[in-house]
Amino acid sequence: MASGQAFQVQGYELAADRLYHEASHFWVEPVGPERARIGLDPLGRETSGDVIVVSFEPLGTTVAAGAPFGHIEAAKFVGPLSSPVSGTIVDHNADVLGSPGLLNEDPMRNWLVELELDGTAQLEALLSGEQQVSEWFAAEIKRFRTQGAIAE
Amino acid sequence: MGALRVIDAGTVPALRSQALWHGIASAMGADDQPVLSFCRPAQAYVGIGYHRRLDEVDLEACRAMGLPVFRRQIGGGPVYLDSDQLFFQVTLPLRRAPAGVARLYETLLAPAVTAFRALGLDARLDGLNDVAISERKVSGTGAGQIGDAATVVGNVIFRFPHERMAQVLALPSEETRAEYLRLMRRHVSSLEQEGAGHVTHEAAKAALRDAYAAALGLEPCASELRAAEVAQVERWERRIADPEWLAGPDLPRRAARQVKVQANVWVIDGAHDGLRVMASIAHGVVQRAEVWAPHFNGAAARIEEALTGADADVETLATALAPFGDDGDRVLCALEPGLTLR
Repeated sequence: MASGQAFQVQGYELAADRLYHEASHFWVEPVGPERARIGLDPLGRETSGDVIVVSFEPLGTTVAAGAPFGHIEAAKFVGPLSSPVSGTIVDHNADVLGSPGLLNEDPMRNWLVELELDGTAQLEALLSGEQQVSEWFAAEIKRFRTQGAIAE
Repeated sequence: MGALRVIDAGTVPALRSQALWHGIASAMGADDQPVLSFCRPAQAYVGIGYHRRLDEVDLEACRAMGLPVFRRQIGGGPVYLDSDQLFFQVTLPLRRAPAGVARLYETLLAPAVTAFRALGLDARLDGLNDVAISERKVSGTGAGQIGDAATVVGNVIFRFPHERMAQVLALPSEETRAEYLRLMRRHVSSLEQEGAGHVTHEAAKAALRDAYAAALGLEPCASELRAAEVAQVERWERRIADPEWLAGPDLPRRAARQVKVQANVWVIDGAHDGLRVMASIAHGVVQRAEVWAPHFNGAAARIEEALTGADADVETLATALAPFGDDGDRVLCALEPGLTLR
């Protein structure tokens, strides 16, 4: 369950106070004037499989948009956690590092890293608002179902 | 029909046997053709998955056995690798890879099963990603996204030295090592052990090539590494040989040691509040349990009996251990961190 106001799209719960990155299925939650937390949205989590390990680049690492801020492992598959925005890693979620299964239980509540953003203008490219996000998310559910990546 | 580039690197130094496919993946562009690659390590070594702590490997034992240790950028635990294994890798641009980890394995390991069957073995996909005959694994696999490519790797095990595999792991006790070895002998097999010792490396490669080409609807064509791929392979050789890379990402130590044998079989060795518990889990059931707790005054044997045959989930084990009060709670605390298979 998300901490902000929640809404559902075909059974998937999303938070209205987040911004969403279309290609990577990460959410971004502004938590200060220049800071944001990043997490996986439910489709990003589901297509990743049951997460068993996450690792993060060290605090202080600068990541460009599209570059990895860490890696995730599920079923012996390791993939990069590609940042939806650019910035400097200022915090890790120690709870998720210690108990990666939290992501399987509730990816919207369990953030991964907190970034000091390289400017907030980049947030304008992300999806926001319940209607815009719902339309995009519904189309993504359909796409992943067509591809057999998620169950009907 | 598109092409499936087939790169057979032959027998290569141990380091190259890892760098090869990392490099091919790193060099792959969005419009490149998929690649099926093969290699065989000239020397034995130990490989460790990206997200495993290096202290899971007994580095001193490896040194004594002359085995280098290399970290790969895909998942899974430490494995003993040698020239009695043929490595195969299928690598394709991310945009052409099936979406979702389960679908990726399903799509890209089905041809491996087909190839094993073509070689006369009654193989099937066990769980998400083990190729097995009955309950015996004959091919280990792993996968990852490297650069803009997805790669699924596997091996064909011609012969397997179970004892050497058990020796290279850092384990909490010799009892755990003995139990691991017992389970390895039962659940990890080889072509030789399955009566297919006559199968040659060339025959295995041909079967894999034909199966992957048919499944992907591509025409197989023999190929060599391109200049960009050679450069990436060499870059990966430097990275994999770098002690900093070998150290791996900073990961928390787990409360219980878990040693996986195959998809659904593992050993837990956990300690809590002055007691130690070892349990073997196979297909969701505790097969065997041993409890060391001097202060239990004889209750250990009864606890072992209560655990054996129980479903390996926290709720069932809590019920089984409830009659033992605080002692049962302590046993559960020792086991619980190892119940979820990594």
